[in-house]
Amino acid sequence: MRGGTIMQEKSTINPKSESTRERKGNTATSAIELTSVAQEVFSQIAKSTSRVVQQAASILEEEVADGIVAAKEVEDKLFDTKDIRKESKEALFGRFRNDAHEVVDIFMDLVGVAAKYGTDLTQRMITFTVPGTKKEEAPVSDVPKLEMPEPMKPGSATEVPMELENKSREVTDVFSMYCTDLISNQGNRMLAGNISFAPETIKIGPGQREKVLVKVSVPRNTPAGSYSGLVQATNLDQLRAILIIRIV
Amino acid sequence: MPVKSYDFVKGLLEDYNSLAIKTLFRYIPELEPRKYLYELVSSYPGRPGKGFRPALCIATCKAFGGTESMALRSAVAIELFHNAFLVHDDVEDDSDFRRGDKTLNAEYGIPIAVNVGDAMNVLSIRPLMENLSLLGPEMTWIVFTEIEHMVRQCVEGQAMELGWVHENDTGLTEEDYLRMTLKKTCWYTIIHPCRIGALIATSGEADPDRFNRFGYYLGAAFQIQDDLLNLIGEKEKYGKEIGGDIWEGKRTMMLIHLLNSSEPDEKQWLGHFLSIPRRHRNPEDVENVYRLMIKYDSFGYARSCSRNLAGAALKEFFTAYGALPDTRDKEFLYRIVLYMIERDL
Repeated sequence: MRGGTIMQEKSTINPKSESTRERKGNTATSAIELTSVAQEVFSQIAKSTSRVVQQAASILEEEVADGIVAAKEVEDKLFDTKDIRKESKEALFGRFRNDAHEVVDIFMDLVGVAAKYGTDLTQRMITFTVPGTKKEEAPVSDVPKLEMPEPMKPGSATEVPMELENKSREVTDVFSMYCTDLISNQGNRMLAGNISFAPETIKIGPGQREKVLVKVSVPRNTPAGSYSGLVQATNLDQLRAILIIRIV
Repeated sequence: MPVKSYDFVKGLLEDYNSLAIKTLFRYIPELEPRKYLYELVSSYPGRPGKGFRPALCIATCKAFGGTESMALRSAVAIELFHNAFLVHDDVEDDSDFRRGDKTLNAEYGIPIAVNVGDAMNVLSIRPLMENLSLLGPEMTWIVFTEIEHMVRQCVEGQAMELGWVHENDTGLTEEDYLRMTLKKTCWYTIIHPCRIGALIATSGEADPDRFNRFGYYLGAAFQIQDDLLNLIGEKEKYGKEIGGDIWEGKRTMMLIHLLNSSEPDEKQWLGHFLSIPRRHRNPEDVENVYRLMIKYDSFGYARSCSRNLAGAALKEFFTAYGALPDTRDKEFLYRIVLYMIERDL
């Protein structure tokens, strides 16, 4: 019966292909038609849907669900590709910058990254030490930025989610996140007590992720400016990010 | 009969493959170190190969209304990844011959071969980056995401297969084999080249999932066919040692069928044979495995599976390509299905 279905498909294709060939000056060597080999193959599966094909179809569905869909979810977390496709190159990168706040992956590779990210406080404002590792300089750009999506007004409050991923093979100790005082580009200060994190204590297994809310409350008398401070964690020298808040 | 159509397929395959390889060579730096790196990078791509992957990518792009140049860089990247896989595969399998000549590991040793494979992986990134100027940032990103999935699936599939050999797993099922084949072979041999070609041609508008079943069935049929050729083909045509898969203990559909069909004492002997390192296996035992496969008709079973999958692939061809205008490339894609599953068997 399936062979009949295919033959029907063939018959709908052939007339079109003939006209196409006339228009295109014989670009195709021949219309799509079933060769004897194809007919033989089809006759085999015509009798019944092959078990191996059914099995393959089932596996494919599982793998697609696990693979491409999962990859798409990761992509969607970063930005909406459908919207991006409509935008120009400049808009693309602008949008990337604006959307990056939604998910900030702070990688904590307890083994390899520690030494790489070692930074001298006197030169980079950030420092940490890891027992048994040598301090090395790292560019500031290696430190993730956590930028508030919208400018904030004095007296306002907001919460921004971020995600922590432990890419190492070891579970972390229980840790808490904290932020230094924020300093503006005008030299003004916003005290660390205006920044908090939820949950207050976190523990992340190897390869696992945890969501953390960054809560910001801007005091009423805060002067306008771009404020930044360093987010760090207790018991976890490898985790840091620069928190940036624009006050208007 | 298909002779004439195969000439057509072979001709266009050669055209697209030549174009891809010629372009690929332009991405190999003309710098030092030449002798043990860049000259060897061109070794495998320079040998006679079928060139299915670049051909599927370019032909699909054209069938969907695109041009050769739109898909060329992506096709080159896929071919470079493929050749890198081959170099590393030969190391992992301790193979001596590839495409009618000595493998890099056999001629230059494992360290150099591994490094050449690494270089090919790295070199494949450049053509994808250069998509930016021709295809724009959105499409470049989409192609990157396709390639990332393709490469990851392939190494995961390879890990499954290597793990089976490492653990001397004799309890595998046909489902295990089909899943491994999807991951190791089908995504990067058929599915992603077609997906990428269509996405590029349509600026991302074509639904790439239309190629998943087509590519899986065709890729699995092709892989089973390739495994059959390894055991019952001719060395001159096949380009590799005949029976190499038995020597390696590779978990092919035939071997899995045999393990699941044989008597307990035979299965016990097979388990013992498979536990012996390749270098310590002897021709008599390899011959005995071969005879057992004949006794239990493992070749016939695998051939039947391959045919069924090929038939399903032909049916899916019409889902994937049926609505397109009839062009030389659509014709080529249709005939390549038959060619891939009928070659020299």
